[in-house]
Amino acid sequence: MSNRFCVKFLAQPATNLDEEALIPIFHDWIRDRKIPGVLLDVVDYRHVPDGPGIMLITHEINYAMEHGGGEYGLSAQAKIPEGETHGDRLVNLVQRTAQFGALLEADQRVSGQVKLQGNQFYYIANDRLNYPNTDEAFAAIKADLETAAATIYSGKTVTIARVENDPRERLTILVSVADAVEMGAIAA
Amino acid sequence: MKGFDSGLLIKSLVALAHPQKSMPSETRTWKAALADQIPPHMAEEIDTFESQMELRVQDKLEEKVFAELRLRRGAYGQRYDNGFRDNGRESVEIPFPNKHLTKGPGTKWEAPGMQRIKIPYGGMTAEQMNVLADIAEEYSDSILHITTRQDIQLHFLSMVDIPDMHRRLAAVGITVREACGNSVRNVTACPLAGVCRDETFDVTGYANETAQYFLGHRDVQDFGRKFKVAFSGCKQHPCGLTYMHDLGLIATEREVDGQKQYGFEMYVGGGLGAVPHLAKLFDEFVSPEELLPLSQAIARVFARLGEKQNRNKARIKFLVAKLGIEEFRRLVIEERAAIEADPEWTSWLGKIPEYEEGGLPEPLTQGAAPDLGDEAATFDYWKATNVYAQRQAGFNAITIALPLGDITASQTRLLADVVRRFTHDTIRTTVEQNVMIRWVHDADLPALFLALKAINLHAPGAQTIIDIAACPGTDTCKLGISSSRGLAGELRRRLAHKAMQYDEAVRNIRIKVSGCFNSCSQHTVAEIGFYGSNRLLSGRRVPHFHLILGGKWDHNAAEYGQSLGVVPSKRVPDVVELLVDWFMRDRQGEEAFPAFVNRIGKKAIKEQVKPLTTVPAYEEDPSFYVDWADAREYTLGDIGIGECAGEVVTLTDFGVATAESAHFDATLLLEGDSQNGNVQQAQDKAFESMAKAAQALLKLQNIDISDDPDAIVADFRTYFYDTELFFDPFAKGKFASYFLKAYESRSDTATLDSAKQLIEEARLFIEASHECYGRMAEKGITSPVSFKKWLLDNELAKA
Ligand code: HEM
Ligand code: SF4
Repeated sequence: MSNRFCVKFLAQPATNLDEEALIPIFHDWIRDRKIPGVLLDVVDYRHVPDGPGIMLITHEINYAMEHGGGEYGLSAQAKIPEGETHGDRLVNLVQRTAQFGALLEADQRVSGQVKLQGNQFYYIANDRLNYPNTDEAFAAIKADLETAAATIYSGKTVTIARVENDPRERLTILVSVADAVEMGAIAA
Repeated sequence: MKGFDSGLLIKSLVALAHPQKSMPSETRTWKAALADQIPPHMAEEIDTFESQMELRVQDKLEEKVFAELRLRRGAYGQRYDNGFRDNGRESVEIPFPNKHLTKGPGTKWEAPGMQRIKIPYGGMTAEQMNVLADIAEEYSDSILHITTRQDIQLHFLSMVDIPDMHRRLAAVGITVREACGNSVRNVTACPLAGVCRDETFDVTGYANETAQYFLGHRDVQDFGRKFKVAFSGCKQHPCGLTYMHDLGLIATEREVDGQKQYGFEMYVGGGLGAVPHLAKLFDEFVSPEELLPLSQAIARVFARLGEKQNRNKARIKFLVAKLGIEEFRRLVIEERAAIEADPEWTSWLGKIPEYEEGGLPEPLTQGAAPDLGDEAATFDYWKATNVYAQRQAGFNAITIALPLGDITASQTRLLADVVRRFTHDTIRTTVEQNVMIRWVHDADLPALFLALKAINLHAPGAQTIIDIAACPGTDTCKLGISSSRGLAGELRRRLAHKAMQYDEAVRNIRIKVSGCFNSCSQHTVAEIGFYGSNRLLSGRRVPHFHLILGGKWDHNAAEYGQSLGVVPSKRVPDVVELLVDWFMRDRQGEEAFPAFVNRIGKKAIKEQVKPLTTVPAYEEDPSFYVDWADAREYTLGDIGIGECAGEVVTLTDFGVATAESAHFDATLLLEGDSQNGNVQQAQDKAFESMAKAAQALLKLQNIDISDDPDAIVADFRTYFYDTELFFDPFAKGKFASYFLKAYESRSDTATLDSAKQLIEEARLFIEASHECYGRMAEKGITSPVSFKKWLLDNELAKA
């Protein structure tokens, strides 16, 4: 049963955003309670190369429009996962993240500047003790990802592949389908 | 808050925080996984803290006491942890699910907090860096932050993750003990120690041995305030900043009968904070043999005579000022003569040569250096600003300029590889919030530059005007008034464009920004310093910064700057530009910036800055009413009570808390299967908890009371039983007799019943200790001196 994991949706390669614009957007979301959860704060890490960019911290999830691994995108780190099973929790986190992404894409202040790729996401295990970056841990977790992906991308053929990375990095898995998918479609 | 249904709560809290515990699973724990990698005393400390957490959740441990216990393990609170946040229009309650749970007075349990991790003298290994990176990813926001005292901080942490995080650190030899709180903080040292061209000798080993000696030492547990120690290898450079420390040591040498002797110039009573003091010379020459005993005597005098009630006057600087350095010195020398000799004062001296470092026998780069291509110009600039030629010919110390002291977990891991490849694992954090790789061969510089570039850590401009230090400020600090990190980020972005055009004199200007007058960025010793403030204009608050000039970073921070008044936050970049342009234009010869400031005079500078102090009306430009890197209209509503170091909690408070956690452990041992040999352990633990409570009370009679149960029982009988001081108005000596009886039968074989009974008796005894402590406070018995007086009065009354 995994409790600690992250997901990340990459931005379209052409994304060209002045990150500063995210600061007022996230502050407004906190004030207006635009997303579910206990919303806490906005953090500015623009100064860090390949860093977390701009974050929106909630009690349950840390969201970030970030540059990790040199890939810009929206990531979400589950701190207090919702759901009974690992699969449920994953579906929940992916949906929350997609809601966040859809809301951002639709915000007039960055309109046309942010577009996320909905047809794939990284699953990143955030628990080196129970889910180390190994084939065994991948094998142990794969079925859960398949179940979750069947809900997230219902009716589509899903590919689940382990990402080859530094063994000290976290176990990272790419979940993808062939055709384009809108954030809004996943958020539902 | 008292009186909630703790049973229900624990269940919900555990379910909430550790969902795996609410359902059966095969989840492994760090406690089990690292059991044989953590030194037993560290493992026990962490287990104890974990039970104290549990007790706090059950409301069986006072908030104030728990807060100080938590601070002493470096786990600070963070902004908004009082459960409120201003959204720019109004202050709104944060709907934490378990709002009634607290981790300190007015501090919500579920609010994110931060962890300070102690790195003595800034020394790290590649293995430690890997673990730091892992925990930053798993528990924090993937950022490691280097502080202005060579520590590392992680932010946005959940309380429930703290014990495991401490275990993972302990398994690689990192302690968080006394990273915070009223005790000896991280011992810092010049990051060039051992490789500096100007040092008298390498202070590394002395700094580390001092840190280890005082860690958890009983003489440093009862301070009214924090105590900071710094070592420097020379007098003329800033690296050690010894003059602004409570205890500063500068390497020195002298000749006696033609023999060269090494030792330290010892300074006491320096400190920044709201009222900065330069340290006073305590002794011109302290031999290595006397370093620890004399420092210990200073600690004891500070613990005994330092202010305890008013924390604003509690640093040792106030004690030194009050007594005068002569009298202070006399008291310390007297104390030194009275302390019992400790073999650990000198047992480490033979180990000092082991601290010597070296480089790889051969450079990695053999033959031609790699082609730098387009990067050649950046390399040259980087080499000019970030590379220091070591005293050891052919080797260099490289500073990695971290923006605002931040580095990602992935970068940390890859940097650990670079350090391993190019050196014998020799890297240190610096007080300028950077890291320094030492022992790099000349021939390897281009290859190292490219390796750093591959992980985006090749920024030039280390220790220059763009390498700005900033405290946490309004980002995470509860005391922050204005956004120091927001401003520093903005200044960096603007200055980076111009920095390459600046000549060396301009580049050498240091800028430091604090979010309030507490000076955590050390702005008082920067050439250009700022600290957060605010002004009310037509009914609206406007973020401002005080401009501080005249500080001297050189010569170990020998001079503090003064304020030239406030500037609106949004105009600070213009003020910096004005000062820099002016300096470039009117500088005379080789004049450095502080000399320029002195020559021009603060009055004339203030005149020039004046036009930049105006604030446009809100209707004209509302951006002045919003802080840097924020979007909310500025307010002061989020300032909370800062956990500078918690409140003063007495040794007795701590002792009783320890007794309570031992008692809690005893009850746990009897949970579940009681046939498994735990019964004896439970009974022993119960007795131990009683002895701890008694010992805690005895600290008020003799702070040096030993840990030996025989001594504790004997003294308890003399001072608390025979005097009837422990006697309850109703139960009289009943509870005390439980303890004395338990002592007499402590070698009897335990049965389940006897263990259960003793656990009950221990609970009553600890309760009674609390009561007794309360009655003593009412009687004015708060120290060995007042205890003695009470004994005398009591004798007379009886006679
Ligand atoms: C009344 C309360 C406080 C006072 C007087 C105070 C004062 C100081 C001073 C003078 C320093 C400078 C460095 C030095 O001595 O070398 C420092 C360091 C620091 N302070 Fe504070 N501070 C206070 C509270 C806080 C709080 C609430 C925070 C944020 C949570 C904070 C964060 C820091 C940090 C990150 C450092 C860097 C040093 C380290 O690793 O020890 N301070 N503090
Ligand atoms: S200077 Fe003020 S705002 Fe900055 S960390 Fe220290 S107490 Fe907080």
